[in-house]
Amino acid sequence: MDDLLTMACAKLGVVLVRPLTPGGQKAVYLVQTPDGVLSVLKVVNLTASSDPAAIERARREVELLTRIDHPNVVKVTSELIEIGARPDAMCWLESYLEGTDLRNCGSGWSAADLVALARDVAAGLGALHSHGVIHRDLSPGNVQRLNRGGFVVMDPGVAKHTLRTGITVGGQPGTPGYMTPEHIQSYSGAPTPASDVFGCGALVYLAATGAAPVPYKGDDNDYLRRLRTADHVALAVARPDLPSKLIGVVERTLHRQPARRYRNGSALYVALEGVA
Amino acid sequence: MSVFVQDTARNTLIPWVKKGVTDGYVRGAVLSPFTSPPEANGFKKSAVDTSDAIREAGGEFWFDPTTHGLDMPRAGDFRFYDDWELWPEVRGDLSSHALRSGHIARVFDHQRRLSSPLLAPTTLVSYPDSQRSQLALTLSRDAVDIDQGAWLTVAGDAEFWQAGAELDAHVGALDQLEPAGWMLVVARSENAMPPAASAEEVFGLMRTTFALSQDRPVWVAFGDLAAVPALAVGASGVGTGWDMRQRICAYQDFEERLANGAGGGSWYQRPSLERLMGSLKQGDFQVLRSENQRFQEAITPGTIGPKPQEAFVHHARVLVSLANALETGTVRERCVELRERYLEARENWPRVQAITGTATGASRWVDPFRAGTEMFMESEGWL
Repeated sequence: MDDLLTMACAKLGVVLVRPLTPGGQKAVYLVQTPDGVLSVLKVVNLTASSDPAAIERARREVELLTRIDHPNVVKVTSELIEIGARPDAMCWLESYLEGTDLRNCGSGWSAADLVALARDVAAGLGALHSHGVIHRDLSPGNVQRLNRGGFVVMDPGVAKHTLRTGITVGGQPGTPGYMTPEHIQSYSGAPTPASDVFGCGALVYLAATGAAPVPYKGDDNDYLRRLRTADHVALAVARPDLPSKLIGVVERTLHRQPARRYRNGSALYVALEGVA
Repeated sequence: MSVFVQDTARNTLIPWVKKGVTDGYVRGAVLSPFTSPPEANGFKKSAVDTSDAIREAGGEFWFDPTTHGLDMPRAGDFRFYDDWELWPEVRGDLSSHALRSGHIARVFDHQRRLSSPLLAPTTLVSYPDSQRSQLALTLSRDAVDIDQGAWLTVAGDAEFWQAGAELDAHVGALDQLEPAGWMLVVARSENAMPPAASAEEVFGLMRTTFALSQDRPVWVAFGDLAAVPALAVGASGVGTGWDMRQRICAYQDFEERLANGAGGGSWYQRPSLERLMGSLKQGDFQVLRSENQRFQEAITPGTIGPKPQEAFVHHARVLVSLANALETGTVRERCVELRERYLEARENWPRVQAITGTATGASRWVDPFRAGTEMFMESEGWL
């Protein structure tokens, strides 16, 4: 990865500050641009997977993301750069956001905080969906709570076409514990904006209860079997103190049938407007 | 709820639909290129004249391209089909965007010419997570890209409708297209009545109907009595007719036929009995009537005349009556009512069988549909 990092920094004209999430197939670094702005560099190693069609899809999505300027979506500030002739890797820059992701934000949140999380993520998803981008992997590590307040959706869509998943059964890559019933599908039923809505609901559920609605327990087959039906402990049971309107919205996001959920981030955002 | 008459090989579509529209038990008719020619042929009127006649009577006219019929095993009834010139090149070739768009454009052109709502073509899907289902999604997306005001058809066989998460995910992807409405089709391998339905298939149709009808109209083409569970959960239209092939979408009805018009299907004059959720052969009905007229009248509203058209009128009125009974209240209340109707029919059938000796009873007319309804209610936490 060191060679790829060096080449990525050179191609994008940035200087390494420090690693943020080193190693693996995807590495994340804090870098500085020539004008002194801190930025995030993402490098995806393609040596294990270099499907040209997947890279082309990733390129198109990065291109789309550079056009999205929304307070709840991380800003992609460069085009997608390929490294090597094969190519061996691809990389791009995103804006650096000070804060911490949802993995480190605890649980048992108040209703007001849960609504704030849901609204910000829904607004961000709405912006993505309006540009034809599906996140596909909304997970606690992909939503940043900013030090200045508010939540931002990170890592949308881009790398999912090329990254291999830890789950060996099923059609789509995703993060165990935060996949949707559509992640099991390989063809027409693959994730849609309604899948991101499920993902948003799963994050709110996590913040409310401390557990994913369909938790991963170490057994892929067991997880995928439970994921098919999205059966979960009702939020009204896990958190009976929450307002019924909020519970109703979250439960609808987690419906096993995507057509029974809110159709996209914007529709979810509208639904949340009436929730205190 | 609206009753639609599917196309018929006979030349009775215009007069019988006009009467149904005038008398209030039929809303319109659906023409198929497999069944009717575009131009008059001495036996049938032209599609334009058919459309005009039905619309002038106050009915709705639909042209269903029935493209999914091409995918049925042994499909070969092209006596009228090719006259419609629905394909830019080879019939059934959807292998490129240009070919798909060309087919859709021709279908839409016919529909606009015939003053029909736009109803997009689709493919028949057996497993909802397959290359075939992907093609159905792509074709549907192409259609709404051309005109967002189009309805979409979801056509699948029993395996398709029985699927669980795969069906739901496929339907979820289609739902993202936000068409004007939905036409659902259950294609069957046998054209026998009652249809050989399974509880899982009924459950799948109910789940899909309930989900899609949240903000769009849903009709069940060729649905007839088998679509009553869908009516309970939000379907607003159902296709039927006087022949078997209008009440069931079966592979045999798309097979090659003789050019002389034979093989159009037998008159389906069997009286439908509302409190049986099914029908009896004419002879069995007469035995029931002569042996226990009070019981017969209790389980069958209205009178049934001896002629085919009268049998159809009664059948359509039974459908409307069932739909009316399931039209009020919440979906949960409607499902409770439907389940009670099935349970009542289940009790009535043995009594009818004891009188008439008919072999077909509740196990085929009632049980799969009751069980499917119960699966749906259980999944909603209502049972």
